[in-house]
Amino acid sequence: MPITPKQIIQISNLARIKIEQDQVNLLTEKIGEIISFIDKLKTIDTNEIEPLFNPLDAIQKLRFDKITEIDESDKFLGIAPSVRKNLFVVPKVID
Amino acid sequence: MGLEVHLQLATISKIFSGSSTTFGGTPNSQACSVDLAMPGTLPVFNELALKFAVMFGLGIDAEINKISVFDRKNYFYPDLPKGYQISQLHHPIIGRGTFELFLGDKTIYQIGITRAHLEEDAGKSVHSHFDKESGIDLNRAGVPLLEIVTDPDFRSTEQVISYLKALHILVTYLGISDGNMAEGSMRCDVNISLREQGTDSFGTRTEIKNINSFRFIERAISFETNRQIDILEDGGEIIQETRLYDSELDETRSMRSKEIANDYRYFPEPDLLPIHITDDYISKIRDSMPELPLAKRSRFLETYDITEYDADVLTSSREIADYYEEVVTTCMNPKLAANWIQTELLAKLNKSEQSISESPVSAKKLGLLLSKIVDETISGKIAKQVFSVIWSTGEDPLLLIEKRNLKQMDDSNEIESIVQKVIDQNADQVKQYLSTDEQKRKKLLGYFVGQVMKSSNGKANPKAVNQILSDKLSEKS
Repeated sequence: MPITPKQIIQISNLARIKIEQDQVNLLTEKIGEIISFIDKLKTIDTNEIEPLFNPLDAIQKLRFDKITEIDESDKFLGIAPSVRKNLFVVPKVID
Repeated sequence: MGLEVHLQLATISKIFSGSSTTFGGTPNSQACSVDLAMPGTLPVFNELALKFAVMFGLGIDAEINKISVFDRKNYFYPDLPKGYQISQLHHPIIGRGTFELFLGDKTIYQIGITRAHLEEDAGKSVHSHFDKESGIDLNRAGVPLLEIVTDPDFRSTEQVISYLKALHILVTYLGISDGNMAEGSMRCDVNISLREQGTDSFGTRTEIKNINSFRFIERAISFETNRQIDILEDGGEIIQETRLYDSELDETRSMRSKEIANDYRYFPEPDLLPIHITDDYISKIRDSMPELPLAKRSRFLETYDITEYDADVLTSSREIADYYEEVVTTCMNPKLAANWIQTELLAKLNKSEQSISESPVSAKKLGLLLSKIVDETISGKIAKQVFSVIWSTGEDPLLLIEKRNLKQMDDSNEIESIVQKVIDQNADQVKQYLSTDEQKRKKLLGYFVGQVMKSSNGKANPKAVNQILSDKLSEKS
């Protein structure tokens, strides 16, 4: 098996995606199929082929180092559930 | 030990948005929709961040990757609105390089640079004034960082500190970062592992995060090394983990919350295209690079004939080096300039806690003052008095010398009459002088010179005084 049910549960935890217990086996199978397919692709000899970094045939456009944004914090803080002293309030962060 | 340094790049706007990067603004006033990960927003890469990264690569003579790619590093944390940090994993902008360290015992030690990559900073959590909650300030979110990773080449705390100091000098010379550790512009993570004497393989490593001063780095390393030694000597095992250095308790402790999210599930950032760098681009930057610290140091040693210690001090920052060179150009005496900058200027600046760019005495003024010592218009002693005055008033040294009539007395008639007066007033000493041996004569001559200088208010040219005195005394014998 290319992936175990335990790994599926761990990944769903890391990605904060809630899955029901009865979905675990189905997902293990489906994602296992995808991994097997990728493994199959890996067997192709690509030594002579240039790596493709991006399917788009374009170069990254850059922007000048210039401040273009104004302070709109009242708008953003206004839609937050909880705000104090201009800070977004969240449950206690440990560390 | 190996180090990871997060260097904040000195751009005025963020790496992927047009928000300001100024430190210390009202919380969240510098966080725009891109930084907050509002739906529909997209990152656009800041060209100056790219240029600064390339300058660093050239500065340490590292490989510059012609194609580099941004990746998403995924984890959930309140200070990271997108749920991922845009970073570079497989194709960093800067590849292998080396960093040469000059250690105290004059040996050169090479540190391997594994890589340096671009990434965005996260926001800041605020805990004070909050009880069971935390406050989030996203002004720092999206500030450009260059993460510089070394090989595990450090064997002592001294090497670590001297690397960080040299790195600090390099990046401030290049002008790519202000290197301000207190404001978090240069943050350091230390990876520590022990190795049994006589073996080649390192033990399990721990990573200490969150160290932001040289003193804390020393203490964190010392605490963590002793902790690992204790565990190993008791037959225990080191767990690979991230630890936080707490400067108040002077200890490191485990950061469990970060460990849970240790699998970052990196994948290529689909919102940004790969960055292509041309040879032309690199050579243009190379041509515009300022002189680097080590090159400047050797040039100072060669051209100015100063000591290694002087060269170290005078090239310890670009500002000091520039100041020095301007003083030299004006007074034309490199040694005198080196001495004055170190003993008078830097000492005084140190006392008043000012940097050289805030100096009340400009390089031009100090140069002019020293030129008056060089051409023997004034003595070094008088120059010190003038320096004190211009330090507090900012006056022009030449006008001041003129105004206060501080010029050295060169007129031999004037000096001669003072010398005569001193001889007349010290008949006993003159008698002694004439009847004693060479050794004692020298002493007495010194005494006479002192008296002449005193009655000329320090203005008589000491050379002329010596000459006239000797002449007059030998007439008598």
